[in-house]
Amino acid sequence: MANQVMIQTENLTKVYNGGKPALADLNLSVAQGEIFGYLGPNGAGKTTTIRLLLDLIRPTNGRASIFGMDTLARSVEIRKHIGFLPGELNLWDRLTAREIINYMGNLRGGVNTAYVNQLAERLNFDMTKKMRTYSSGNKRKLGLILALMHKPKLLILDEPSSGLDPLMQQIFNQLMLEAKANGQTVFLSSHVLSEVQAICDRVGILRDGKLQAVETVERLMRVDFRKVTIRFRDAVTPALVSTVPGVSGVSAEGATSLSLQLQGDFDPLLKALNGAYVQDLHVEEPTLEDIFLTYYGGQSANNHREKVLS
Amino acid sequence: MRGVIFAQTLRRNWLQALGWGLGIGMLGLFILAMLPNVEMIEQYQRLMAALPPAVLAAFGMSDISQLASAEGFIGFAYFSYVMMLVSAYAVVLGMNVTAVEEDRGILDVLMSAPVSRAQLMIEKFLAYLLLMVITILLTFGGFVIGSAFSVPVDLGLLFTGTLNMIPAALTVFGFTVLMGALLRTRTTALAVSVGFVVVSYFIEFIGSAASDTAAAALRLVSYYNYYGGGDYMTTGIQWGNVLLLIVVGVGLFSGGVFLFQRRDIGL
Repeated sequence: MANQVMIQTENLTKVYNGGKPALADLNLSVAQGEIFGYLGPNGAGKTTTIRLLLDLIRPTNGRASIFGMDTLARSVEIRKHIGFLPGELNLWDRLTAREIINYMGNLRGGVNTAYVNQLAERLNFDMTKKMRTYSSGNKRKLGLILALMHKPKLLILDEPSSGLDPLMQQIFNQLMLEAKANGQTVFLSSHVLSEVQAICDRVGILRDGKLQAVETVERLMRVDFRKVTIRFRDAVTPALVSTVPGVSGVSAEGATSLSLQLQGDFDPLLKALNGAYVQDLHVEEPTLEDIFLTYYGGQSANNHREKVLS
Repeated sequence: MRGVIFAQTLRRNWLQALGWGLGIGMLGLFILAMLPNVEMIEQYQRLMAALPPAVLAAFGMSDISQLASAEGFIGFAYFSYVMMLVSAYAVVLGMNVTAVEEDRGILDVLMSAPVSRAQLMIEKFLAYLLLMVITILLTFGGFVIGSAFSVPVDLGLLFTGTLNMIPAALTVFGFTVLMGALLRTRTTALAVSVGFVVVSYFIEFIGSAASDTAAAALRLVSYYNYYGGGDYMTTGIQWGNVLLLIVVGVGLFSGGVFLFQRRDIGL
């Protein structure tokens, strides 16, 4: 059961009005109990994928299955076990959050009120106000309660932490890790890389409707380049280190600082600095954002993978 | 769970239905309050009789003798025109079945629950249909109250006229649901539905006035033609027309369900 496939897509494609594919030949597999991050800029096809999975829109080609069931043929059965948070939550303005929760809870059945109250308490959310009075952050909290309240097998969350303050972001991360511990599966789209880095097991990177890569976060982070910032006492130019083997992306930060990316050993760089007075040397592991940008650097995914990943 | 959408739709919209019912009912009350005596009705009949038949027909008056009674006057002055208001309400309800919530993005959340598109539409349709019937019945309250201040009127006949509005309203309701399902933007669906009501109205009354023109032939596609306004006072309820309007209304709604199940939501 641990490796049961929860989401499977085969050449899933969506073309709107005969234009350029919003999603092209998506082949993706998400296993039970994992938190899968779906990364990409706006317009990459993240929301299109989610809407296809929920049967809100229909594929132009290909198919998708959830829990082994076809998303077109058995959509209602699938949705019994899904919790969904849309990218932008719009609900009935004149209803209070409590009324909305009761309505959606009745529609689903089997929602535990005590658990709803517990979620609201953890998210510091007041359920007595009308929908129209909530800030975007509070709307997000309501959306999370609606997605989580029936303890679904699969959570599909579109930009879940957008609008949450840092404290709530932490609580959100905890909730996701608890869901994972309970055997629930999470599929979340995001462009907040720190969120993905903190909680995801695997990441799919989407660009222009095409899946560029799927890797474990651990593997993505195990890259052989580092970000180096060197502060000198005297003025320097990028030419000082730009020809050093393994050094790329050299830029000057003021007259006395250089930042660069270094692949491989430090020795050639240190030798090139011979004679210059170094006041400070700062080395950082690349963030997922750096890796993300590297993926979007213009080369093919395979070239990147060979280049970036160890 | 079955029935939840139906119950929620009733709960959220009963106040609006009450407002429409009482508002339209006030018109009935006003019409009756304008009928202080039989002499005034006779004066009005003489005034109308002086008009050319084509002009009378354009006002929805096929038989001037109808005006000789209070009920006939009400049939002309109320039932011929109040159908426009009832139709407007039917358009509002029809838009609420899918178009409004789709436009606002609410359907995205609603359809993430284990509910089929057909179930969503059928439960809403039934709830709004019930509200529409209640609203129309509420309008009769205006006659009941107004009859205390007016010349004696046959409330049974006026109740029949009130019930006679339901099939036509169902047709408009079904048409609007179909447009909401067919056209993806709320404003377009609304514009086409309002256009359907207005064009039907004008086709009927222009066609009535000019029986040798194309408008007369087009009356066949105007639901107003089958509704008949205050004609039931002289002809009685035309059960064939009632049945036709009900079948067309349900058919249009079914077409809406069929289309909505086969298209993308929220684009």
